[in-house]
Parts: sequence; structure tokens; C-alpha cells
Amino acid sequence: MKIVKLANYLFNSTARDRSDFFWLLVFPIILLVILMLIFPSLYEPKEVTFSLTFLSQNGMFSEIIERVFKELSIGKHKIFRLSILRNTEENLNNEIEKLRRRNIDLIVEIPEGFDAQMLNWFMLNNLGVTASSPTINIYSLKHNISSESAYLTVKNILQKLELEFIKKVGYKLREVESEIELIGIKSTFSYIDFIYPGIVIFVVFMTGLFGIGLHLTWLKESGILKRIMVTSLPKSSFIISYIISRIYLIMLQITLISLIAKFLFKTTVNPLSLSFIGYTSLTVICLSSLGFFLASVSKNVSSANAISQILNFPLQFLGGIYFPVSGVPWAIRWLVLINPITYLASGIRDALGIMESPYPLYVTLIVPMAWIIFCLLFTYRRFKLEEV
Amino acid sequence: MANFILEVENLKKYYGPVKAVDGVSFKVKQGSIFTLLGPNGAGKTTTIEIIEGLRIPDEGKIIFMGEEINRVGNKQKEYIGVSLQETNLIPYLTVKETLDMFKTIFPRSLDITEVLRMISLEDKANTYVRDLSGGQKQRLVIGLAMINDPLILFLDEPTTGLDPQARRNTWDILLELKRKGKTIILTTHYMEEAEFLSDWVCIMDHGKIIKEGDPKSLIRDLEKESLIEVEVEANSLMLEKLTLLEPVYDSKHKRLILKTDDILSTTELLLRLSKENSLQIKDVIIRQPNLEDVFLSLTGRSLREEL
Amino acid sequence: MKIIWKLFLTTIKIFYRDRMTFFFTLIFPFIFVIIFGFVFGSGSSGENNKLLIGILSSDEELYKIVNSIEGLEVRRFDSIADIRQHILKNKLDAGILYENNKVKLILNFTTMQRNPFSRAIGDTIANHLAKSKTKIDKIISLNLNPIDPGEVVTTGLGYMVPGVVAISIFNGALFSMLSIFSYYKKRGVLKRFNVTPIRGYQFIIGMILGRFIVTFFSATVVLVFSQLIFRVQFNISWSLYLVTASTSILGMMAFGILISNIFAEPEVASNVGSLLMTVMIFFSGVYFPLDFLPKYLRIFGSFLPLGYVAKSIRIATGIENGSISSVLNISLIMTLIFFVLVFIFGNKIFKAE
Repeated sequence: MKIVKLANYLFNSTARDRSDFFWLLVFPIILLVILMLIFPSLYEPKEVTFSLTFLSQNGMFSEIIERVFKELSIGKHKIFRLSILRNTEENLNNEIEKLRRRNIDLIVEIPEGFDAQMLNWFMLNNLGVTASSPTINIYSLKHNISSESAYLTVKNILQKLELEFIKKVGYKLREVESEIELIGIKSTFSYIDFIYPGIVIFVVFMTGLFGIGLHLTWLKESGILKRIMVTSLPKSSFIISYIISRIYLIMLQITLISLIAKFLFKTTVNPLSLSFIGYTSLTVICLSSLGFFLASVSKNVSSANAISQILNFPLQFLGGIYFPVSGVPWAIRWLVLINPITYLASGIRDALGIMESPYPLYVTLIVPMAWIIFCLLFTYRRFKLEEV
Repeated sequence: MANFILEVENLKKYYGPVKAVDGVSFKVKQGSIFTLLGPNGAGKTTTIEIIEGLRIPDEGKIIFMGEEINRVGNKQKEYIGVSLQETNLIPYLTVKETLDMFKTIFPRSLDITEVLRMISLEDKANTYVRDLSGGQKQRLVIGLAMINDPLILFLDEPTTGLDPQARRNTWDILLELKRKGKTIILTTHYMEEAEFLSDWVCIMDHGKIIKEGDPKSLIRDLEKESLIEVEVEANSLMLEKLTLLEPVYDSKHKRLILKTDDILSTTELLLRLSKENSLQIKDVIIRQPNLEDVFLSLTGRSLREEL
Repeated sequence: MKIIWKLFLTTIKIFYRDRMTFFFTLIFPFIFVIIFGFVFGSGSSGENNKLLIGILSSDEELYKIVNSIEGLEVRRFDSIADIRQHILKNKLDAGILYENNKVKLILNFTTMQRNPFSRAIGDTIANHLAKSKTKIDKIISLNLNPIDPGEVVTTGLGYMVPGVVAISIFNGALFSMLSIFSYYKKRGVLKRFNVTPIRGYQFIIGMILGRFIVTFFSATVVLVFSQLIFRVQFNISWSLYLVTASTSILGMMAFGILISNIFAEPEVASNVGSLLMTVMIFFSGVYFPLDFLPKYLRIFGSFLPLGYVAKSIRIATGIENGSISSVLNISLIMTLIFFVLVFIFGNKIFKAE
């Protein structure tokens, strides 16, 4: 009874702290919303219309190509916002400047003499001679994802067009289709299904670092811990109360996130499934242990805060919470590999059938467990030595 | 005629319906320690902050070194040293740097080593402010108040929250400042502090000065040699019989205080009365009157009521 | 003048002693550029990332075709399972199978994330296969000219650096104003100064000047060190950098002053600051492209000042071409806002009640 009462007080003290309340309960929700606004558009690009400038020539072939682009620029589902200009040096330079300023996404330039070269190519081909192929120039903008997407689209269109030309000449083409199979994810990719378990890990991680690591250090530094230890309450009861209070907190966090993921973003993940509950529990134990470890190594609140902040971002981002990271270069891959979050995130996603884990399932269990054992042993030793 | 360095007349500051300072007047003699004594919320800090220039009075006159001013401005601030009730300094500066920074602000200043010696922080000169103990921080705050070698020092509850040893140290510093001819204006709710340090005490309550004088005469005004203090349940019958002994009953702490010249017979009377009314008497103390009693007899409340 | 100088020096000292500010202004931006640079950065800029493609050793025709395509490197495997396993473990970027006139591109999800255009490989190979029996290699050649947005040729990582400098400026400027106008005010530090004859403008100038220099220095350190660490070379116009960085700092400081005056509680103000930072990191187009975002979000993003700061620094470092006059206009606006706000709230700082 006493234990539960103390646990209530410990929970209240965190929930009423404005900073803790914000970062542990409100912020994860804001973050989930932000991520849902940004990432689905990166992974599942919807209809996009590219601004394209077509620098044309007078000639039969140029006009054929021009017509193809025109056709793709009308209607509701048009691919291009097209502007067709004569190919002059002045126009080209102007358009390149526009491209640089991101006013347009791509320039397709039919160079001078293109039509003559094409005609030449076909005539020589009839005679059985292979002429050098005429060139179409394309200008794209570096570091710009729209421009590069536009290029791929145009390239694909021109490749198809080329096949049509070849057919016209009378050759028989192989009908080759192409398809993509993505591995690493299972079935169709849905970012909410991907991110929901990630955010759950994130909130537990935040609670581990700040709600336990920093909070416990603060209890220690402010003398509250000592104050509790000098009462008749056994040490073990305090520890149990503290753990209960953190479980309250984590349950509240996970429930909030789950409600939003389920009802606002319609995730198909079932939070009551065995694999979700199992991995979530492992996450809670592992990242809480990390919090206890942190509290036992830091001398005061300011050092605990510094350690938490330094650990916070690399572990978060390189644990694959927000986007898969297994393919990063070795310069930072070691951070991915020693990071318990990596295994927790891969494990839970594999178990839920969202994304295949690059690590065998047993590894996703063993590494977090090793972390738990290490952290708890270390904390236990410190605890014994300090007698606090 | 005494030389008054500061005179305040009919000072008023209202915050809506709250009369924080309600017509306060006093005069401070040069070279003296002048104390505003009163419980929390009596208006001491508001009064002192008006004279420090932090607040603008609604009404009233301030005569600062013989010159009448509406409000305290930068010219006056050069001559005063202030220790605020709650001062937070920049945590990542050392003691010496903090003193040096404030020293720069003033045209006239003391040597830093001299100040460090007076506040006994020589060995902490290069310690960050954030690493100081409560007492050390308070001494530094007083050190800052004296860095410009001021004529008047305003110390707002300089010993609140300090342990007895640290409080004693602070008192020593204040007495040394007084020896150097400084005028000190002090607020406190510790009657021992007021009694020990002050040359002149103004007792404040509800924004008004309800009594002033030097501590000895204030106590003498109670006109009794000894006090008997007991813990007892309130009983109107019993109080009636004791009327002659000017009983003061502090209902919050259930303490009855009687003034007497004859300890023996008063004690006998008290015991008899309690037996008659079948009341239990506990914790009998016989002592000399102090400023606390002055306040209690004036207001019926204890100075430490809120604490 | 002496007072201003002293406060100026003091502010600089405090900055380097306070580990948290130091971390957020100097170290934090680096962490970000490393993480995002490695995860997202390499894809779009055509740097030395040849894609490793796995095919079955039995398919000789496919081997020839894939080998002839620029940017692809072929590895041969004995079984499909083997290819898949390698892809899953990120030892291969993709696999290609050809069977029954069907090209199947097996792609690792993380490869697609790093290089969204890897999806097009399948189409290209299908195109080659379609005409492989015709003796016609190609009719039309495509000649791609990637235009650098600026004078400087740089990698994706290099392109990101000005954004990181912007983050450093934002952090340094915003949080320093929060500490003066919110933390110092609430904790009574300002009150302590107010009982001395110091004048408001002396205090403000000294403090802000110190923070200004510190922030400018940090941002420049981030810029210079990023060049070294990521081996990118900018063509920095130092005079333009001086203008853009300085005015950006002032602009972000104005932001900080505003926040600390809206949210009186230092804790709340600092939380609001951190939240704003998160929103800016995501929506200002510094780390994540905004191109595919819904329109309302792109409009929202275009109102976030961090994007402008990043852009003007890109222009100053020669990574992006842009009109200098528009940069100067933005700079002027930010400076004006700063001076107006400092005048309004700075005057209030030492006012008696």
C-alpha cells in the first residue's frame, strides 16, 4: 500500500513538472505528426507535376518528341507544366538561370542539327550502316530531388520513344517488362506502420534518459533520495515504487501514442498483439536500465543532462527509429551496431511483419538483454558502494 | 542635531486593493544600522526596493543625503550598495570575476582583494558561483553590495535561510561595515538579528510602521522585567483573572505570555488557576522580554507566523 | 564603454563555460550533418556511389548489359537466395533477374531511401534488353548536364553544410536571447544590475555583442570545420558571409527576444525554443526536401526563417546562385526587426515598477 502511494507521488511529481510533461507526453505526439507530414511524401511520392522547358527545333523528329511531351502536359493528371521555346543560346542561358533558381525543374534541349542527324541515321541504317546517334541534352539541377525525379521521368519517356522509332524502322522488339521487388520491407510499405513502433521506442527512450536518468540524478542531488532513504521504508520498497511510477508514465505515453496512431493515422499494427507487447516490454526494461545506468554514472544534474543530450540524438537517429539505417557507411555504422535501439526497432518491426530485420531474430533479443545485464549490474555495484 | 542620510515621508505603494506600503515615514541616521522588522508580507521589501530605485512609489517623499528626489536614479545608485532578498548571479563566473564585473559599473570602487578579505572568500576567489554554498553565496552578495564603497547599504533579509554559524559571520561583516562608518538599512524577520545589530528598529505590519525606536527602549516600553510563557488551552475564565498581568495569547501556538515583576507569585497564581479550571500547563519558560514580545503585544501575532 | 567591454568579455566567457550552450551551438550541428549526410545525403548528387548489382552467374546476356551501363557494378551469384541475403544485409544494393521477358529489380529499402532513383534501373535494363536482338544499340543518346546551383561544385553533404551553419546560428542566437530576456529576468540577475547605475543600453549592447560574436564565431567554426571534415570546398565570399551571417544572427535574436517576451517563464520559453528548432529542422527544407510535401506545408515552410538563413549562406558560400539584392533585402528586414524589438523590449529591461 505504502509502495503504491509513494509510486503515485513519484509519478505526480514528474507529470506535474511542466518540462517533463511537455517532453515526455506532448512532444512525442507533435513529433509523430511532423514525421507523418514529411516522410510519407518522401517514400510514397504522390502525383507530382514537373516544370519542364522544352527547347525545340523545326523539324519532323523534333515535332514528334514535342507532341509526346505536349500530350503529357494536359489534363488533370498531367506530368509536366511545359513551356516550349525555340532553341537559341539566349533562351538556353535564361532557362539555366531559371533552373538554378528552382523556377523550373528540368530543361530538355534538342540541339541544332538534331533532325538532320536523325534523318541521316535512318537513311544510313537502311543502307545497313550504323551512324553515330544524335544527342538530346538534358539539364538538371544538382541537390534537387524534384529535378532529378523529372530527369528520370523524361529519360523513361525518351527510352520508350526510342523503342517506338526502332519499331518503325521495322525491327522486331522483345517485349520486356520490368518490376520492382523491395526487400527489407514486407508487403506494401506504409510509413505509419513503420513509424508507430519507432515512436513507441522513442518515448520509452526519452523516459529512460530524462524521466529516469536525469530525474533520478536530480532526486540524488537535491537530497530527496537521501530523505527517503532515512525513513523506515526499506530500500527495496523505494525501488519498487520508483519502478511502478515509471511504468505508469510509460503506459500513459504508449497509450497516447497508440490512440493517435490507431485513430488518426490508421495504423494496421495491433498494439495488443503478442509481438508488440513482448518487444515493447523488452524495450521498456532495456531503456529504463540505460536510465538507471546513466543515473549511477553521473555526478550531478548538469552532467547527467549533458550525457543525455549527447546520447540522445545519435542513438535516436542511428537506431533506425525514423528511417532505416542499416546501410550507412562504416564511419558511423559502429554506432548503429552497438546501439540497443537498432535491435529493438528491427526486432519489433520484423515481428510485426512491417520490415524484415537485417539481423536474425535471436540477435535482436540478445543484444538488448546484454545491455540490460550490463546496465543493471553496473547500477547495482554503484548502488552498493554508495549506500544511497 | 543628528545627521540624517536618508529620510522617507509618507511613502505609499498600492497594488490594486493591496496596500503594500501604506504611508511609511522614517529617518535614518548616518553611520547607524537601521532595521525594518516585521513578518513576511509586512511591506519591508517593497519599501526598501522603492528606495533602491526598483519600484516607483505612488506617493511620498524621499530625501537622499539632504536632497529631495521623486525617485532613486542612477546618480543615487552610485552611492548605495544593495543585497537583494533573492539574488541569482551568473553561475559560470568565478567569485572574483563577478566582483570585477560589478566593480566596472561604478566610478568609485574598492579593491577586490579588500572585499574578498572582508567577506572571507579569499580562498574561493576562483570558484564558480554555482559551486558556492548558501552562506558563501550570501557573503558574495554582500561583497557585491560593498564593491562601490557605498555610503548606504541596503540588505534585504541577508541571513534568511542561513545556518547559525553563517548568520553569525554575516553579522560580523555588518558590524565591521558599521565600524567603517557605513549606514546600513536592514530588513529582517529575525528578532534576535534586529536586537543584536540595530541602532534603530521600525516594526512594520500590513504596510505600516507600527512602532519604532532603539531596541532597548522598545523592550523597556513593555515595562516589565520578566515574562512567563506557558503552553495552555485557551480559557476565557482564566484569562479574565489574569487581566492585571496583561496576558497575550498566541492562539496559533497556544502560548500564553504574562508580564510580571514577581515571578514567584505569578507562577503560583498561574498554577492555581489552571488547577481550578482543570487545564494542563506545559512547557513553562521564564525569560527576559524581547522584540518578539513587542511585536506580539502590538499585533497579537507572532513574527514567525508564516514560518 | 568600459562597462560594455567588460560585459562583452563576460558573455564570451560564460558561453564556453556553459557546457549545454556550447554543445547545442557547436557540437549539435555536427552530429546532425553527420547523421543526415550519411543516411540521406549521398543519393542525389552523383558522387562516387556506384551501385552494386547482383545477378545470377548463369545469365551471360544480362551480365553484358548491366556491365555496360554506367554507374553499376556487377557481382555474380549462384542462387537467387544468395542475392537476396546479400541485399538484405546491405552487401549489395540491388539484384536483377531476367526471366520470361520480365526484368525484376530486387531493391533494398534502405538503398531506395539513400538513392530514390535506383528504382529506375529496372526500366533502363528492360530498355536495353528490348532492343538487344535488333543490332541497334541506340538511336538517341541522352546527355545529362547536372547544373550546380552555384559556382561551386559540391557533394550532397557539402550542400547541406550551410543548413547546418543556419541551425548553429539559430541555436546560438535564440537561446542566448532567452537566457538574457527570460532566464536572467526571472532569476533576478537583471534586478541585481538594476540597483547599480548601469544603463539599459550599456547592458544590452554588452550582452548582445558578446553573444553575437560568440554565435558568429561558432557558426564560422562549423562552416570551416565542415569543409575539412567532409572534404568539400566552398567558394566563400567573406564579405557576403559577414553580412548574411551577422544579419541572420540579429534576425534569430529578434525571434528569441519575441519568444522570451511572450512566454515569461524561462522553462516554457526554452521549451518553445526547442520545439521551434525541431519544426524548423523538419520543415525549412534544410535537411529534408520540401518538394513532394503537400502545398500547404510548403507554404508553411516558406515562412520559416531558417530556410532563408540557409539559402543566403548557400549563396554566400557560392553553392547556390542567387541575386545578392534579395539576400540583402532579407538581411535588411531581419536587422530592422531586430532593432525594433531590441528598442521596445530593451527599454523595458531596467524599468522600475
